[in-house]
Amino acid sequence: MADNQPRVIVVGGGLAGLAASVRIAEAGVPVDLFSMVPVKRSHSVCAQGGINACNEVARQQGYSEWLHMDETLYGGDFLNHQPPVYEMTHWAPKVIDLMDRMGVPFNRTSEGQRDLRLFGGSLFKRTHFAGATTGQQLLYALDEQTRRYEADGKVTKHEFWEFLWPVLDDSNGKKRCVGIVAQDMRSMQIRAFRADAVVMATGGCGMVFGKSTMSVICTGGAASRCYQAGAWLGNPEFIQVHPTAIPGEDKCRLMSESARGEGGRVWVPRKKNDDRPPNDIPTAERWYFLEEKYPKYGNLVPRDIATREIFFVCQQGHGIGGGRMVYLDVTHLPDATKHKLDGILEIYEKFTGDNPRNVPMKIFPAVHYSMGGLYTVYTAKEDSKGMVQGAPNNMMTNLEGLYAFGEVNYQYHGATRLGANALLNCIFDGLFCGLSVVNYVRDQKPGARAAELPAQPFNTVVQQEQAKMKRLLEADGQYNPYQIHAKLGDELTDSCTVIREENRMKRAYEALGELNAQYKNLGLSDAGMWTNQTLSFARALGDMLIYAEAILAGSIARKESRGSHYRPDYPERDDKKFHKTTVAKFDAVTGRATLEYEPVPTPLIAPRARTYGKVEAEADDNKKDKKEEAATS
Amino acid sequence: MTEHTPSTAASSGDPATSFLQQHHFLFRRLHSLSGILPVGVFVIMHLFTNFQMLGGDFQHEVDFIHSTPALLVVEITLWLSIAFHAGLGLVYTFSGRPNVRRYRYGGNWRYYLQRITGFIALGFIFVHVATLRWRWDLFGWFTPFYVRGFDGQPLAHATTAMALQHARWVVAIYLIGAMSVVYHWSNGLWTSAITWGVTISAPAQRRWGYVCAALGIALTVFSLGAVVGALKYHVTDEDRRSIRMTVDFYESGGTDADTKPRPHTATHGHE
Amino acid sequence: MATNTDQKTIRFKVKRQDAPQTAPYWQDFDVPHPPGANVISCLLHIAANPVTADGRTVAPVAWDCNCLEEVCGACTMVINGRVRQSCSALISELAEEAAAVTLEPMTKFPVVRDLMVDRSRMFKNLIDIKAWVPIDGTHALGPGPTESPANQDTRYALSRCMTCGCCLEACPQFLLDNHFIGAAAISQARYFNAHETGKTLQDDRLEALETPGGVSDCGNAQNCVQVCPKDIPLTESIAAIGRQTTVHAIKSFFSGK
Ligand SMILES: Cc1cc2nc3c(=O)[nH]c(=O)nc-3n(C[C@H](O)[C@H](O)[C@H](O)COP(=O)(O)OP(=O)(O)OC[C@H]3O[C@@H](n4cnc5c(N)ncnc54)[C@H](O)[C@@H]3O)c2cc1C
Ligand code: HEM
Ligand code: SF4
Ligand code: SF4
Ligand code: FES
Repeated sequence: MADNQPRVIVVGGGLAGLAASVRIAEAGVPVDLFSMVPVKRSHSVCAQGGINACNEVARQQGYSEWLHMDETLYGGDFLNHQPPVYEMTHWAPKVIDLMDRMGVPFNRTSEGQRDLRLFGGSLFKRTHFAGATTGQQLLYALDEQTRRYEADGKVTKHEFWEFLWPVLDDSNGKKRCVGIVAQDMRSMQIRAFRADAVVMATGGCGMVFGKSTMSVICTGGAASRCYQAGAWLGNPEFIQVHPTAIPGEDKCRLMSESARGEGGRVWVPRKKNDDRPPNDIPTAERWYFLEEKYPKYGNLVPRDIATREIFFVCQQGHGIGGGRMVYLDVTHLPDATKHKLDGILEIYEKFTGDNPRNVPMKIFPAVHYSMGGLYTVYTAKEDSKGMVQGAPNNMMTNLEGLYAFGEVNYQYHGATRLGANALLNCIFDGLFCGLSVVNYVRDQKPGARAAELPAQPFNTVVQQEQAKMKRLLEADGQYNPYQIHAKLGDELTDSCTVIREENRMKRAYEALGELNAQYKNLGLSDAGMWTNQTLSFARALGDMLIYAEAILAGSIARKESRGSHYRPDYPERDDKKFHKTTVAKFDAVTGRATLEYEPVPTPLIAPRARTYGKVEAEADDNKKDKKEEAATS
Repeated sequence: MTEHTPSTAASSGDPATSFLQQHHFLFRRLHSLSGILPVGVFVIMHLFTNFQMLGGDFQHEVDFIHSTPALLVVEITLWLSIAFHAGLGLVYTFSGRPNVRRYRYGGNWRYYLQRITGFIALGFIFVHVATLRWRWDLFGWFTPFYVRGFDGQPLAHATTAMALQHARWVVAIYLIGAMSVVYHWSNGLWTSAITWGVTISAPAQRRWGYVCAALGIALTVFSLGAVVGALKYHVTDEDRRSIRMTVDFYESGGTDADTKPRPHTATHGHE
Repeated sequence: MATNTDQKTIRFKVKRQDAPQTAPYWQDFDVPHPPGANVISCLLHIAANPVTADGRTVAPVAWDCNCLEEVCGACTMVINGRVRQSCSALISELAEEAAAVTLEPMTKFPVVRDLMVDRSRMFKNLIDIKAWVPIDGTHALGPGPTESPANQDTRYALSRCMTCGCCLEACPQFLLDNHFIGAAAISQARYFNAHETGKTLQDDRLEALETPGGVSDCGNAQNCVQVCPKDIPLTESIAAIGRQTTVHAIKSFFSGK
């Protein structure tokens, strides 16, 4: 079937994948959209707090797109590339307008304008929101537009299909992505799909840490497969730990930053091991440690900072009942404000049984977001103020024709992501870089279309994947994939989250070797060929182990502290050695990452110290300890 | 704009079904309307009339009804409405599958009862009309109703009383039947306000629910009153004789036209 | 399999089915549950240790889930006879209801395997009612229409439908083998009809809802609103669409084509 129409495959139906599908289909290029779950159930649905953009109200108080960019770079500890951040923040108002036109029920002011809330890392109200379930409303709006194109036959959905491997063609001397191999998760059929470009929009990798705030399919498996196929990873070691989540048996459920944005306060009892119920502790005996240490930003310091403060406070024995929890308190807020937070307060109530409207919530940090991901490039404008619109390589990986959008893309957030910038980056990627994909496939010479290639490169990958499946199904070793996964999660959470100690990480690295050995000796409890979920999980586990290696290797090698990456042995930022992007290349022989460092240009803003106006806390701490002694004696 | 064939439109080659399907919405609305208006309004009036047995001038009311011009037209309209409503009602009943055992919510019970009482009402109305109005002898259950005797004597109350005092189970049937009709109509009035979109907000639905419940209670009181009135009536030997003779009269070929109210002194037989 | 002996265990009775055409059967599992456990964490335990109560090693139970915080709608199933999300079904609460936890797949959708069902009918219904705002395209064309906070509040409540299917599972009018569109899609039609631009497709939506299987097939049992985990005012939506269809039908009788 010689088809002269170019086609595009989008893998992933979260915000990034759907925005890309809509943008590409709108340009008249047919899209095949792949997702492991119905796209409407993608992880983006979990996002709660909101989406950032400069707006008229903030602008008239001195805010601007430029400041939004500056905040994003400052928050990211200047590890982010500046032209893409410039472009994203300057596009942000357009993104909001568009989502508004699609019918997203953004909260409104009495005059009917879009309401705004405060968010971390900013002193201006610049976060647009729909209750406390903004991701849901944004995802649904894009889902609806996608459905419209689906009804028109311009988007073909392949839901319950799992991406297994990219297909690369090097007949022209250069590796080029010409399609994918995927598996129907019900019939277990494995087959190849051809496309002139492939967009990976497969989200983050929280499952590598066992429990996180992410959804269960966020294994990073798809990114890991691209990495093994030759795509590079950028900054894999940068993982965000969110300060406020409800620790749970199966998942840590997020209590969004919007709780603090709307006025929620974080505190612990001043007295250690105070076991009074929180409402019985008078204000004077509560320690609002974030407000005290960061008078300017208060509870809304960036996440890595809040997380570390909470962690340290608990380490010093100030946690609730001496344990690993602090209070997040919204009880004092007016009812109308609480109403705006219903979405998350309901979650807290459902899963803990306590009503957070009356009783302060108990929270602790949890793994939340991957700043790192597939390494991508772009074409900057001459003055570095933004990217060239429609340049075919915007957000293309090092493999031609393979793009990475959304959370799986390492761009934009550097060493820490500011709250409510992720949704923006997902939609922006889809819309802005969607055009790049369209231009790229349209520029292909006739005769070189994926549809016209010989079957060989596709068959090779199909056979590779069938063999992998066969190996897994026939494996009769003694190790259970779920148990290996639990151990992997424990190792990584313990060694490589809030505090990264060299020795602990090295031990984890060794443990990883052991887990890899166990993985080779796997036994699957299900060898069936119908909706075999164990197979899918076991396969992704192998990919998680490989991704975890890159995270650990990157963390060990980065001997400095920057953003979310905190090394007690190297507590300072070291711009001379490490103001660089970690580029991880997979070495198929050793199965390990080869790390290279690429300098980060700073054409627009020069890096500065990242303090967020912290008051030197030590004197303060001493005072407190004295007070406490006085109180207890 | 692109066209989609709604999956909801079940295509069918059968002209009768496709006619129903083409006008599906209209039929649904007519079903609702037929329940509320012709059938419902008649039922209310009927129950109110019967209530007169308890102290009111029942005979007068019945006479009044029977003096309605074009009674036959009214009656036929009623029959057609009931047939239409009941026919479609049966189809609709079988289009659902009640699940009150799993989901024991009040609303679900009302839904279930709406269908059960529909069936009971259908059976009851048939028996009620067949025995009283058409004076059928159903397996020895012969309880004919006469507004007046063949000689013009008022018999409405007496024949009704005879009918109900026939046996205890007759009372039970009447009670269950009447309550079913009352429930079905008042609950139907409540749901119809949602169906037509009259009550939208949950509080409005609740308020209208109270109104319908009040109506239902009032109608229940009326029907109970009627039954009590019929039971309390002491059927005299005179009544029995009149009824006997009236029955004989009809069995020997007399017609309704001959029972029009006439002076009490009229002689036996035709002029 | 090392089961911690001092942890409480609870019996799970799971209705299983290997494939769409095969017959269902029941299996029991005893699962330890730490405080805070929910049905999903227990199913994960079964996945890791697929051994029945009578000691047989079996294939792990298949089920759907993703977000684990009751917002994606994937994990809907019938738990102790009532349809709900399994991720938010806490064992501590279920243990109060009954001695065992019974898990069954939803009955109104075709079973794929075990507790997984195929809900594509719900997504197809959304196409039938044109559940989208017909914008001109993604180019920057300024903001959307302004909206009163009251209207936003109404629309926001409706926008939270996660296509989970609870309302359909509990509805006596929505059956595996009929055409009723169900409360979720009716409510979505109201959602889009309440938007300034969304309104332009109102007639198409109402026409779709006037066909067999449309809004008039609702029997007002109001189970839907009782079981909806997102507290969506479904019966208000049904009434609102009832009004819109009534008006639309009358209008098109007098002035339609
Ligand atoms: C609890 C929570 C709250 C958040 N709140 C906010 C917020 O308020 N503001 C903000 O800006 N950000 C927030 N974030 C971050 C933000 O939600 C995510 O970064 C963003 O949604 C990621 O979107 P995505 O499109 O990249 O990927 P996802 O939404 O994760 O989608 C990934 C898609 O890829 C598919 N996929 C994955 N692997 C495969 C495979 N192998 N084969 C086929 N398909 C595959 C999946 O099916 C899915 O459709 C939050 C994150 C969490 C966890
Ligand atoms: C005494 C005669 C009857 C009266 C006064 C009556 C009245 C009504 C009313 C007012 C409604 C509400 C309509 C709506 O919700 O829009 C209704 C509904 C209904 N009736 Fe009747 N009805 C009668 C007899 C019957 C009979 C004999 C049946 C069939 C067995 C029946 C079956 C139904 C059904 C199934 C409904 C529900 C329809 C739906 O909700 O879709 N009814 N009735
Ligand atoms: S009101 Fe009842 S019949 Fe109507 S959709 Fe809801 S559950 Fe179904
Ligand atoms: S309306 Fe409620 S119950 Fe129905 S699908 Fe939506 S969220 Fe689920
Ligand atoms: S897993 Fe998403 S709703 Fe339960």
